[in-house]
Amino acid sequence: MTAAGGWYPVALAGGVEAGTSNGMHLRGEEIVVWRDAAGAAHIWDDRCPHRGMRLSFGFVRGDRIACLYHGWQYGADGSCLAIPAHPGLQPPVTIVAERRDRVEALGMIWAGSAGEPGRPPVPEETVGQTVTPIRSLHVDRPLEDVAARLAAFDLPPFHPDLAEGARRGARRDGPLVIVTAEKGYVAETLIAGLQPLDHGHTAVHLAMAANVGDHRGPGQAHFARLAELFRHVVESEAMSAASERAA
Amino acid sequence: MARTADRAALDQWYCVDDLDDIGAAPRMTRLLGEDIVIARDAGGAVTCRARGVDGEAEALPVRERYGYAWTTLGAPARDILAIPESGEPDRRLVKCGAVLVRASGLRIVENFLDMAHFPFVHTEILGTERDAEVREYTAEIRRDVDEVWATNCKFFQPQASKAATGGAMVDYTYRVGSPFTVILYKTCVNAADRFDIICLFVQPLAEDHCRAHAVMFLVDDTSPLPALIQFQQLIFLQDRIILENQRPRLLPLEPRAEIPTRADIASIAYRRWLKEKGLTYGTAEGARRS
Repeated sequence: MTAAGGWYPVALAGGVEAGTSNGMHLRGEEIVVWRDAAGAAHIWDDRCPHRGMRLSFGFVRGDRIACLYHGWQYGADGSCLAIPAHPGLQPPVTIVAERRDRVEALGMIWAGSAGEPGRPPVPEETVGQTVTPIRSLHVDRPLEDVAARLAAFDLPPFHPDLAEGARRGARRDGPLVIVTAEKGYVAETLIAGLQPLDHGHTAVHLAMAANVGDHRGPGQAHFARLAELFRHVVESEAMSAASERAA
Repeated sequence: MARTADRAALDQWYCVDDLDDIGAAPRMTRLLGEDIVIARDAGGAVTCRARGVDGEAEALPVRERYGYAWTTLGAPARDILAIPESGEPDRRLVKCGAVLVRASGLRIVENFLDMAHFPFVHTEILGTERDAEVREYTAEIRRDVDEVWATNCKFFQPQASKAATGGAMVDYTYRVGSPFTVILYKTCVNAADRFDIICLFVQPLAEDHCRAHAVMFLVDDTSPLPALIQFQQLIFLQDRIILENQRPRLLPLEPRAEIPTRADIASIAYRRWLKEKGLTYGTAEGARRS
């Protein structure tokens, strides 16, 4: 579908804390993103093989996730390790939760899709730069619309040296929109990772990268404000287009 | 909407309303995807009408049983399930109200047959992780009465009922009287030789949407009624969190769709019994076919 070979970001890395599980949508499918106590992230189908309960309602203990319904425990490789109703039973090896490939890159957790190998794209602009998370937000528009509008949107850089005369650009790389600004020795990159939730909804995960300075605080606030403005503009455009069609 | 073609679902009696709530003003509800209207006529008799296949109002048969109105869209071969204990003079009828659940009614019945979830869903009430074991029990399809029974069930419960004063090993017997009605006989705190009875009468509004009417026949003349109702409602609302988050929402009968363990023999018998009946309403297989 994209150059990324089916890889999509599903969360900012810091958005999924150790010891928690989070249910979310990806291309209309329900997935659970959980992080074990040691900090490793896991992405599985959001479904316990036993009775279909969503595992995102379950609880993480150590390096296992347990289903809320019957407490069945699963290890990092997806295999069932304990069935509390039968303490003496070694669970059959056939009980395995459906896992997905995952990797952390660009300050985001990425999900691969079954049978589509490869890696998420890591744009060369960000190599050697420090990535700072900004925020995630949901936009009530399809991914392609969001990508096209975001690449064309006016997103002024944060660093004061880039306020005037900077060389600015924006490009699309699979599920990423990369907005750059550069002048002299200062380079700044806004990275937008797009997650198709379902046909009409997209999550946008924003991070920034720069080769100078610390961009926590004011830098995060600058781009968070721009992201909210972007969402407002894009959703309003869609609403007025819909009412014009209705009229 | 066209009437379902599923004879196994049509030819059953369904609990559709609390008799105490029915007056002269018509009450709208649904059964198997059809709008039905319940009211009392001038003589006080309960009436039930469906829109009918050709749009003409169709009078449906009505039975008044266990404090509820029952009706059918088909031609049931059998009467509403008999609960002889309900006629005992010292039994207390406790209607716990109806709970709306966005799930297949079959998943609701199956959850009712399940002991293994007590420690995790009804934590420190009907079960505890300190003793989560489901000991060996018996499940069978009783051919003579065409019902599913699970007997010799035992489970450790910290707070088995409103009347219980501490943890105890509790005896259960389960009885599925029709695909959407299920009864539980449970150790009675107030009378060692008798059982409390808890019934779940599921009214399928649609394949994935139900009203569950919970009714108890208790040997307990001391617990105040609101406390009894509150206890059961807490339990059912805890179950609803599970039921609305099972995927698929409809019950899969295909054996490899979900993986059971020994504790699930009641569920396995129930699914096999539904399959033998050819019931598809509320099943994942039925949804795929239509």
